[in-house]
Amino acid sequence: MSSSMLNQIRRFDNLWQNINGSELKRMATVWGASSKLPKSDCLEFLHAALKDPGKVDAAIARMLPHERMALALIKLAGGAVGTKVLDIAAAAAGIASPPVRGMYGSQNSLARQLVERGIMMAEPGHYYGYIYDSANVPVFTDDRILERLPNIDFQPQQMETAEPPSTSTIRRPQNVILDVLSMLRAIESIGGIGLTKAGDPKVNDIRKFGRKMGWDTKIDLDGLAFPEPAHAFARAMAKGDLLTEKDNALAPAASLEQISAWPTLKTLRALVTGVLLTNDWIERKPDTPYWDGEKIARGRLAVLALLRCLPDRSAWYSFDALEKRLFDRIGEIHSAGGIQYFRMGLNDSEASANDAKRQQLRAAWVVRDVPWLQAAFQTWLYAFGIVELHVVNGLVDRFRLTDMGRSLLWSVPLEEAARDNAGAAPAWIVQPNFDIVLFLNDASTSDIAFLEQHAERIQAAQHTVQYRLTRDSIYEGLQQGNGVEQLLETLAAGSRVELPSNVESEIRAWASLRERIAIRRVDLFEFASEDARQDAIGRGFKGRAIGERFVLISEAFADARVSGVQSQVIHYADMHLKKNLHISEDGAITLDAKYYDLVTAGLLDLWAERVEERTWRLTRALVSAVLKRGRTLPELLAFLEDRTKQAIPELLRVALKAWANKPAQAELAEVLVLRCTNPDVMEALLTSTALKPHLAGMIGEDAILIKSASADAVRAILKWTGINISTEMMPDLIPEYYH
Amino acid sequence: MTSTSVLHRNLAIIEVADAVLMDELLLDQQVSALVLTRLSGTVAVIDPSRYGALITRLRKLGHLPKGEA
Repeated sequence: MSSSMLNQIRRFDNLWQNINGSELKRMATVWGASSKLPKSDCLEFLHAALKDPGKVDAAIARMLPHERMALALIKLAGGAVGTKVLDIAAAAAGIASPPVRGMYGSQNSLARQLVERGIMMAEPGHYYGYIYDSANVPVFTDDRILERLPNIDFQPQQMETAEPPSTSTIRRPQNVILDVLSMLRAIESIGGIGLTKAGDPKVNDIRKFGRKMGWDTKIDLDGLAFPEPAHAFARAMAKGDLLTEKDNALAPAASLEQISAWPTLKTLRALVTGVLLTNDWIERKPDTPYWDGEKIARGRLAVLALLRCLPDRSAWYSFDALEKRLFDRIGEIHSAGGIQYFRMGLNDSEASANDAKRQQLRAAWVVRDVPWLQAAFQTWLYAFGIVELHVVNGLVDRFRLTDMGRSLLWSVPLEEAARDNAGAAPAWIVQPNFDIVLFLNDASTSDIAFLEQHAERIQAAQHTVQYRLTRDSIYEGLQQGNGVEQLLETLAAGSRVELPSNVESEIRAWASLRERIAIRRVDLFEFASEDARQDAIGRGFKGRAIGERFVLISEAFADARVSGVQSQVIHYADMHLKKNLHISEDGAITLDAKYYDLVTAGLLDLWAERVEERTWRLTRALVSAVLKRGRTLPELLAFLEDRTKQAIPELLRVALKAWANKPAQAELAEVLVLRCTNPDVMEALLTSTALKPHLAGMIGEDAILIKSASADAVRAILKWTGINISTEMMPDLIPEYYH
Repeated sequence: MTSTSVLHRNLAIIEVADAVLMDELLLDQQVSALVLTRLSGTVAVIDPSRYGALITRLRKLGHLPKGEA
């Protein structure tokens, strides 16, 4: 299934035309079209309807209740889902869809029904006609429908609340955001997670990520075991679009500063969408020898769907009651251990009445699915801050939804702890030893992002995080674009005590070091001579003089000069300068007099010897020396290919490779050529035992190579044979290419 | 070198606090292979395609370059 990416746009537009006319007409009726419209008019109608929010609202109102509930589940899943996953989740939510006569017979698949009604579509590459009961075809709903979908109520399930426990464990939004930012930072620092040819994350890079986070193959998250966290989070973040592919590696989808500014619900949705789509990590490996990760993962949306049906969103519930309810709803159609096709050969009423079979299923559920459900609660449901838990002897005894959980399930905004100067409690203490203690209860996500950006995290606990300000961390923070005054102001504003004076002065000293070397892009005006520059400055030319002939000018001034067109303009921004070099086989390079750009001239001065004002020559000594200084042959070749007007001569290419210590191999020896166009005589010469020791090879069919040391011996043999020898080689032996 | 005036737009340069610092940087073989034409005591054109490598090398030498290219 394609990733459910938060930023991916899902539209039906290009898919309507692949549907046959009669089916399309039926789908169009959901949108208010007449069933008699011809296909072309249907298409036009549908395209227009989806663009009209009023028509989308009307279509949603026209849908049946169970269809709207299904859409709510698809929205919870992130907009795309497998048909089987949807069916299982719908069952968990108690969504009853009447069996209908579909295109391919009686059909109990809700997902199938929604596709036939045009409310969902199979993803490109998957044929909607192949949605059978057992298949898990990826389907999606148009974004414009989900955007307009109101909050849909599910039928609350009958479940008694439980007594609130005296102790519990909970992850706050700040904990979750902190984890996400630190994971993204870790992935950034290792250069991303590389991808295999098949597009999967490389195992070694995932291990590297885990080591960077200080994780083992299993971690303890507030006393709860989380297996293979590096694999789980890398996959979930990739599938949920917190990581995207750049240069064949997974890297943060945006800067950490940008991600930290996202509403918490957006980050949470990304994680949840990601874990719903992750098939190669599971919460707990079953005890069976065979298991299918993809099938096990199908149960995750069902768990969320059931949680959405809790009668009191704020109450505590017993885990046992929930798992029994889940079994009641989906036990006959899903299991972590694989369902036993309970219904095969039975009609609905027979299946319902078959107590013995149900008891078998229940026994299997207790062995396989209850442990899986325990693990789901103790891993991602807890780690993402969706549930608060009361744990007894390592098992979840009671749970309740957190604010984040309610926000996720009912799509209500989470009230963010906002930092405002008027009175939000400062969230940290800066100590004179440069350590910072952050109190998570009072920290906003922007507080966390600020410290993640400007300080090194030392350790994190449930309620506090310890950071340290270092020269490198301040440097990295300032590199993101903020100035030192803003940094100090924010640091002071968030501190519960006055900023220590030694910390402030050291930060200023570190920041000033950064001003000693600046690498930037500028607009530079070059005069033909120092006198010309002096003259221009005298006439009001504004800027800062650099060297003898240059003036650093402002962008606005540069814009004015360009519009005035008084001089040649060379643009360096897009890195594709004009081809202005001519190169010859012997390594001579000439720079076009009309286009003398500073970068090309500078690179030529680096790699080659300047022999005249606009001519350089590549030499072995210089090229080898530059390579020893850390530059590479591919860089040189790329530079030449980018700038030369013709292709690099092949012989020069061979020479450059040799100078880079990759010499080609060849043989050069002196030989004589004996040529005879009479095939019989040629055969005699080749089979002669007297001549054999003197032969070095052949060229073509009628010329023999003779070792030069054997010249006299061969002449003597040929003289004895009476063959007339000419010392002039016939021109036709030499191919025309060489004339 | 040009016989007419030239406006170089968005040219990547390195600018340092003083000429002694530039001399010191250029003593490093790797830095000198990444810094191209020296325009003055404190300003030089850099190879824009190797901006990241230059920042990394300068960091390794203990400097804190302000990078905006």
